[in-house]
Amino acid sequence: MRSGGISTLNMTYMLRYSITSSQLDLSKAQTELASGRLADVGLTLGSNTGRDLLWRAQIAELQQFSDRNKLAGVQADVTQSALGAMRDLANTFLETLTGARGAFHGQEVAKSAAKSALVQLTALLNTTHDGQYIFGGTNSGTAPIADYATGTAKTSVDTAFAAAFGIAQNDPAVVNITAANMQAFLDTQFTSLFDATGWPANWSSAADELLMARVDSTQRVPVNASANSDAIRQLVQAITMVAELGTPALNQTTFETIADKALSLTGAAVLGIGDEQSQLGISQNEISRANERIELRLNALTEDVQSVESVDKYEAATRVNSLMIQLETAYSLTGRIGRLSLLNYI
Amino acid sequence: MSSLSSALNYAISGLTTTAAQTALVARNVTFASDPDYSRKIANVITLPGGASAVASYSRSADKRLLDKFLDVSSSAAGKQAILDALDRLSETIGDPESDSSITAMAGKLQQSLQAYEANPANGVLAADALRMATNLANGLNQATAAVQDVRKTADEEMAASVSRINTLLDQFKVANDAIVRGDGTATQLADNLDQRDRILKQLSEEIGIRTTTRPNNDIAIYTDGGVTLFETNPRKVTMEPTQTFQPGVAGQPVYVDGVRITGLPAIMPSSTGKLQGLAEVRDRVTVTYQTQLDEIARGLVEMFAESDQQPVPSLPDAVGLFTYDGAPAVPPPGIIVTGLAGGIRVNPLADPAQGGNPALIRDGGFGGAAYSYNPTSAAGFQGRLAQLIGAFETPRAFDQVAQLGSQASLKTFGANASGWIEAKRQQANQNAEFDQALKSRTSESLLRVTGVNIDEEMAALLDLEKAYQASSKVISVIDGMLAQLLEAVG
Repeated sequence: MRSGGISTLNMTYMLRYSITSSQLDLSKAQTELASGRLADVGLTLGSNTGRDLLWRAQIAELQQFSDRNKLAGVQADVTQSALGAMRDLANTFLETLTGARGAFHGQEVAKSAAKSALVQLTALLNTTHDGQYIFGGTNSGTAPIADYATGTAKTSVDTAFAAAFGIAQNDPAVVNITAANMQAFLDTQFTSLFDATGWPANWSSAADELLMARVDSTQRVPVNASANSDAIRQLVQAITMVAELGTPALNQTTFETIADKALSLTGAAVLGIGDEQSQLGISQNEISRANERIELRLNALTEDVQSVESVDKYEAATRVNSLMIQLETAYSLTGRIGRLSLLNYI
Repeated sequence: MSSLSSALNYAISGLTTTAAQTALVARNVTFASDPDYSRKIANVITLPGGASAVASYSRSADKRLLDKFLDVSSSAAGKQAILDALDRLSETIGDPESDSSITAMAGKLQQSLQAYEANPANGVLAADALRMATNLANGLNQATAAVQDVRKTADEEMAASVSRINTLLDQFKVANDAIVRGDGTATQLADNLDQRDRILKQLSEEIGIRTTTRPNNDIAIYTDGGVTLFETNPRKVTMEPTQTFQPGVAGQPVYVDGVRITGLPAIMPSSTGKLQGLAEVRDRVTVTYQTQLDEIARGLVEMFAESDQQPVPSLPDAVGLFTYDGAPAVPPPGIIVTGLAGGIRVNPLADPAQGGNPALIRDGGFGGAAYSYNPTSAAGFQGRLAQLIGAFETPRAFDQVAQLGSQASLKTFGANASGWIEAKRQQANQNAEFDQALKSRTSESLLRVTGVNIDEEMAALLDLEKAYQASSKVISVIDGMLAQLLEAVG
């Protein structure tokens, strides 16, 4: 046995292990230099890989929220402007009716204004955005209001009128209807056409529940409206009573009863629509605040992912350099040692 | 008194000895590049009467170093087998950037449900949610197939390792018997010793071994768990290969001489070597990872399960979008259903390709009208979707056998499973690198002792050449002297 000896194979093997491990490191460092990310993320992170995966899933989710919140914002804007148009319509009707109440030929003016308002209101209630009826609530696939002239609504109004007074609205005998009788009809039979059970049966196919937009993973805000809201029901009721109850042949005091009732309903409707607009305004505000939050979260998460996955490019470049020098040294040493042999000298 | 003839005899014995030594140098040089060859040294003795001869050959060997090398080599082979398997398992996760992990797929499903929730009347979004659900179910099926394939490969390699151990032990007997009996010439004896060490080195890669040397240079081999592998005769190593691996199917244990050395519970467990590494992969790592996948799948079935929506509920919960072989019953929470990840699939009732309707994702009712959350089929119905989206974040109970805690949301649990595998892989990589470096260093130390240095042999050759020349000179001088003598006499 030799002590401190060395065999020829030792000389050959000496650098082999260091060369292979350097080559392996070099290929890793090159990958990292090219991509700026760890060559084998899972191997380097170990148990932290799970956290990295969750961060990435969250980033994808937040990006989607940020994209979708833009759409939800647009939807809320569309609903908001439709509500605004509806309020304008109610205000105009209010003005016209106030003026027509005691005026000469006031009945004709009021009726024709009411008829055109009814058509406009129906159109507004059936506004669509992106193929969805914005006043449909969650039942956004069906038009909430059918055309008045051809729908069940007119039939039910006609039937109720005939049942109460025994004549049709266009009968000249409507002149005999007293103010008190009309008041009673308006307060009971006619109102019941617009209450919680009468409204869906005669007028609306909308759902009470509103369409909600998820602005972040936990918060949902309403972004459309329902034709079933109190304000809309009141407005439709007011316009319909002026448009449909009796011909211009009505007794002036009876007409004034209708006009007074319609005025108070329209006034309430204007306030109600205002409330709905401010509710929706809160939603719009929430959406833009959520977007700010999402932006911040996205930045933070992206930084987190980068901090664990990315490599310092300068460090990687230095590593490539030093590994290359190391390898070159090893190669030249291997060559020189290989040439060293006693055989060359004997 | 000495005479010229005895001088001649010395010279001739010198020539023979030198020739034998030269032959040995030639032999050493020839095998200089064989790492398993031990350098041979000629033992020259002086015969009665003063002549010299090569009596025997000794080998440069070091039992302590060899034992160390066998140890390290076993350990490195075992660690490498584990690392190789973990590398394959981590392919089920992929680079986090590629979004191919179960966590990323679950996230995508949640996002598509959120998009659908924003616009529940949109059939395209329903189809998209269905596609993401199908991807997730397929991802779990494929991960299960990959895990079972890793197990199958490990089992095949174990069977190959067992048959290799048996072959090596048979070869060992031939070499060992020749050594014990002292068969053949001195050179052959030395070669047999080399052969025996070579077999030990090969054997150590398959299974951790300990050796004891007994009288007549007989060697007995034991596993590192203490079971006899070879004592005068080889002991049988056996393992029954398993044809088909499925979750819940256990691999067969390895027996040495009738004693179980792997599997649960092993009586005298082996702790190093490729065989042990493969058993660790086949019986532990893959099994635990499979239970984690099964729990993810069970969590999904549970999340999408539907409850009775009648005014007075009377029916049990039933499976929804995700279904499995035990449908319509929903598996109880926190209790593993073995193999669920392999059998989970998207309910055909939601798949238009199979005559289904993707809108069931929005409305519910996979289990029949009683389970419908939206009996009026309102196009904008969001309630059920909101529930499903929320379910991704809700902590739920998971079985402890998955080793990932008992409470987590599905996404966190899936991420933890990925973290578990990568942590194992990181650890295995460090172990394997360490053992590889240690093996390389030990191998160097061993080679220092046993290896041939050609320069040294050449220097010895120079010596031998001089000795040969000297002996030849002596003979030629004696020849001259004898000729002179004969001439004088004649």
